[in-house]
Amino acid sequence: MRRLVVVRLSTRSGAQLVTAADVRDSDPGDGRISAPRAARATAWTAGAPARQTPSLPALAADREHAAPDWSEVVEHFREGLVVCDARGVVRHVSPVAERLLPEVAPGELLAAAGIAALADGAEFTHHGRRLRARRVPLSAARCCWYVEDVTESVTRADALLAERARSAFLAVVGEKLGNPLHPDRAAAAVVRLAVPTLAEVAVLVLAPRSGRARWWRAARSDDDAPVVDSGVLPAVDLPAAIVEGLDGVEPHTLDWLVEQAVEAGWLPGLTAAESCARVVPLPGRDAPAGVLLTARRVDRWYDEADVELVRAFAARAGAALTTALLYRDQAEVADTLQASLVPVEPAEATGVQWGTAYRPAQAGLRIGGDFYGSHRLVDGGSVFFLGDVSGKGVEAAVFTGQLRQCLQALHRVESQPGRLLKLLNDALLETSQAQGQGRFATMVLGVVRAHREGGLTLTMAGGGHLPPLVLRGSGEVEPVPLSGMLVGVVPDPRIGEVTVRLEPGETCLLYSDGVTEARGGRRGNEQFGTERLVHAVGGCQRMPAPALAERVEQVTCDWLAHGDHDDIAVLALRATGPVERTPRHLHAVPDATGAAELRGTRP
Amino acid sequence: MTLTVTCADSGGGATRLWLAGELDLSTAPELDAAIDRLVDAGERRLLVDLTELTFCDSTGIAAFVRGDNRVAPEGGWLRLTGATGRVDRVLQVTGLAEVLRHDSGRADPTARSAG
Repeated sequence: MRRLVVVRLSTRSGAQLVTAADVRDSDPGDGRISAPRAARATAWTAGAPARQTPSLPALAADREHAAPDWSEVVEHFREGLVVCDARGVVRHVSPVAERLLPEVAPGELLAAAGIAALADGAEFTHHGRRLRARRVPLSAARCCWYVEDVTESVTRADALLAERARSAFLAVVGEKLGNPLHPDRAAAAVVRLAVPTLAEVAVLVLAPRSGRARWWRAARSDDDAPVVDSGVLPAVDLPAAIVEGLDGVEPHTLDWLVEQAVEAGWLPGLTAAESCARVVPLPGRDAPAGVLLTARRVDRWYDEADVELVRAFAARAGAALTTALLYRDQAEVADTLQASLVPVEPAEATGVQWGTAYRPAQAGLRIGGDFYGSHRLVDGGSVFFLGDVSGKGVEAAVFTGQLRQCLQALHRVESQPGRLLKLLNDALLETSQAQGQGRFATMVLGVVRAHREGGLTLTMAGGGHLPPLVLRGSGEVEPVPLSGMLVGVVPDPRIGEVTVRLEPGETCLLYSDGVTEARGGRRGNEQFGTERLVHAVGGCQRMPAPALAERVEQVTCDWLAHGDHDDIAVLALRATGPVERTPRHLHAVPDATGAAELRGTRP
Repeated sequence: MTLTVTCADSGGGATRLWLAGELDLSTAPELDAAIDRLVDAGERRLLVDLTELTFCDSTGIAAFVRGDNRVAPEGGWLRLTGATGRVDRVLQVTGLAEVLRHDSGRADPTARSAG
């Protein structure tokens, strides 16, 4: 046994001899290392033939009983041996070599056997087996070919590599599809990832919505990067196998599917005769999110492992698509709600220049607990309001929406500010009591009417909100003495009412506590406060209302030490002058409307 | 920004809560929780002392209203006392001072002076 081991080691060294010698010529560093091996190998080739090689053809003579029976030993080598003489004539073929290379016959030239792939260090397929060959020079210019059948180990290695490749592929898929927020992008990613690992052409058909099915396709010609396209198909035009897949069944009528898909132009670059395809459903929440059709040439037939891989891919793709679709649905709902909750700009009103600013605390949502707005009254005046509901974010926004809906309806039956605010209080009290949690609002609600001779009269009711400021023509700022109780808390709240007269160019400013409670300044924790606000708008009497509102927002945000703040809302009403109003109307609207305006302003 | 809530039986069947610090979005949940614990334990009369409270925003106002709403259906009440400075101003502006004013001279503060 021991000697056998030595022989196996030696043959290996012998095999390396050629390599080592080659390397030694070009690389002295390696030569140092390989020199002892070469010496050892030479010692073997020099020593062994003296004892062994000449005896090989003559083993049958059984000359040396003390030595092992080499022919017997050699027969049990995994490698087959072919020994050739100096002319290349085969002198000996071991039984294993006979089986692996049946063409090789003793007494004939090895070259005559016609095994073109046989070369030193070559690995080649011969009679369905994977063979590895190496050529070792022997003494007297003879040589020995060692031929090993490596089919099994290659298959095992291939299987291992394939499994590794599949795992790596799925890992990449998981990463690429990890967090898709957009269904279109997710769908495009699914087909792009399927090519070329799973298919030459991959088609994803999403579950139809309203009778129409969207599809994405990735196709690759030669080794180019896959090209992705997409489109929409009427659901009735989908092939039966796709429909089956959308019902969650993995269809079996695949040959027919390939033909139909090729005919319909679904599979560019593939022909029906030489293609194979699979259809797998992409799991969704209740029903499949879609179906994936993978097609490639028949020389890469989908075996069991491939089908498993396609299924594993489909599971990940389905999860990603479902997430993306769910996110889209939620985003649609949020957008719709949001659109109904953002403040609407005040409607144009005679003699009033409106200015607004709005900065919700949760900027991403664009909605918050602050609100403002206006409604036109039939008598030509307008109801206007600004306020703040308790709470933050979506909850507050929804309550704001309810409040605005209430006002929208109630101003049609009551236009006296105090009474309108009481009606609103009762309506909200009912809502908030039904829902618990003590929701309420603070607000200022007023009615504005323009004077013929210019200027405005504002009648305002206080619902527990910060009193408005009036910017006089002199540049001075006056707080409006308005008080009252918050809206939606008690059945019969005390509501104050104040009437203010604005001359042309004067402005009334309504604002939320996000302005005065903004924390910042030098210490970072100081409230902006009413005094600073008064100071900031004082002397700004020439500013148009939109500029003034913007200025309030700007000074507030400049004050803020940190990014976070409460909702900020500002509503400014500026009285426009009669001189600048009437001619403009006559100019801009010369016919019916202008005349009506003139008639309306006569007593 | 911190808030401390201390409570003790103040006699006359009411529990007194002392608030110290700032009552806003970040600390109001603490007051909510304290009120919930007391109400769950059967307390129906809560007198909230604001002497040491330095700040109160609309979230704090909401917490007071919510507390009063919780006990009101069972004949209870939540009242405020001792507000000064900015806190008093917020209570005045919102009108909550009138709604939740504690009148020590009156046995039953649920008779509101609103109107």
